[in-house]
Amino acid sequence: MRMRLHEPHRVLLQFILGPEGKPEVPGLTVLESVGGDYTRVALEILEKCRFEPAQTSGKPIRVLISLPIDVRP
Amino acid sequence: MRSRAILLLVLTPGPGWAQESRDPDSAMVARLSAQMTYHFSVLAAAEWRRYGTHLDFVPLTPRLPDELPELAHDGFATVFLEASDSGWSAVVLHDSLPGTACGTYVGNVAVANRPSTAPGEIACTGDKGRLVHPGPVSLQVMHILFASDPTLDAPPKIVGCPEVDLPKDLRQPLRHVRMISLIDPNGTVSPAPVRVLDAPSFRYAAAAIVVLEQCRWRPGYRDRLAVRTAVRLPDVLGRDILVGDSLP
Repeated sequence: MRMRLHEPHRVLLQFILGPEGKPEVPGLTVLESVGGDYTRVALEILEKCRFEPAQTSGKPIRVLISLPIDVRP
Repeated sequence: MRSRAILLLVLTPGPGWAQESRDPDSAMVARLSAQMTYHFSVLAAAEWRRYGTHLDFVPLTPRLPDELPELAHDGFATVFLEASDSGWSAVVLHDSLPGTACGTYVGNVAVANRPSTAPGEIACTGDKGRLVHPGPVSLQVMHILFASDPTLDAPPKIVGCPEVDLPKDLRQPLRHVRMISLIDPNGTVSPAPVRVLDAPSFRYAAAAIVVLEQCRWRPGYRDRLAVRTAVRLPDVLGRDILVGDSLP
C-alpha cells in the first residue's frame, strides 16, 4: 500500500512558525501531496529545518508559512 | 354611469397596489433579496473551496477585495462572526437598508454566533428584515460532509490499519494526536489535505499523519451513496488513535 519514491513530487506544507523559529504543531497541514512516503519524507525534512523567525520592530513574531518541498528519489 | 365606474375602480385598488403604496421600496427590496442570495452563494462557495484545500474556514473579511472581488458589489459588507475548522457564521449588511442584516451559519458554531435558527438557513433581522428573503441557496457546495452531519445514513468508520514500524522513541502508548482528514468515497484517506489540531510533539504529529493515511475506512453514506466526509480524529473513531501502539 505504501508508495515508494519512484519519481519527484512536490509536497506543500503549511504551518505557523513560532517566535523560536520552530514549526508549531497545532495547525500543521499537508496541503498537497500524492501521499505515502512523499508525505513522510517531507515531514522529516521540515522537522530538520532551522528557521529564523520573522520580526517586527525587532521582536520575533508568529507567522503562517506555506512551504513547498520537492521530494526526489 | 361611466364616471361612477371609474371612481369605483380608483377607490377599490387590488391588494398588490395597496402593498406597493405602503412599501414604496419593495422593488428595491426584491432586488436586494436576489443580490443577498447571490452574495451568500458566492460566500459559501469560497468557504468550501477553502475547506477543501485547508480543512478550515477562514474569516475572509480583511482580504475580501483581493480574494473575492465578486463579493465586493456595491453597498454590501460581510462580517464574519466565527470561523474555525468545523464551521463558520457571517452576517451581510447593505447600505440601502441600515440596521438590517441577513446571516447564516454552517457547521459547528457557538450558539451566540448563530444568526439563524438552522444551519444553512438565511435569516434577516432589523426594521425591514422581514421584507428581505434571500434564497433558497445551497450553502453545501463542495460535496464534503462533516462526519457528524445528521443527514448521513452512516458516518465513516475505520476498518483497519496495517502494522506501522515506528521509531523506538515513539513507541509509547497513550499519546493522542488530534487531526482532521478527508475520507474518500472509496474508503481511502485523502493524502491531502490533512490538518493536525494537536499533538504532543512534531514527531508524533508526523507519525500520526503517516499512520492515518494507511488506514482503510468504510466511507460515510448519504442516500445510499458513498460520500466524501471530513473526519475529526479521534472523535469519530469511538476510540483513540494511539501513535506508538499497534492499530487494529
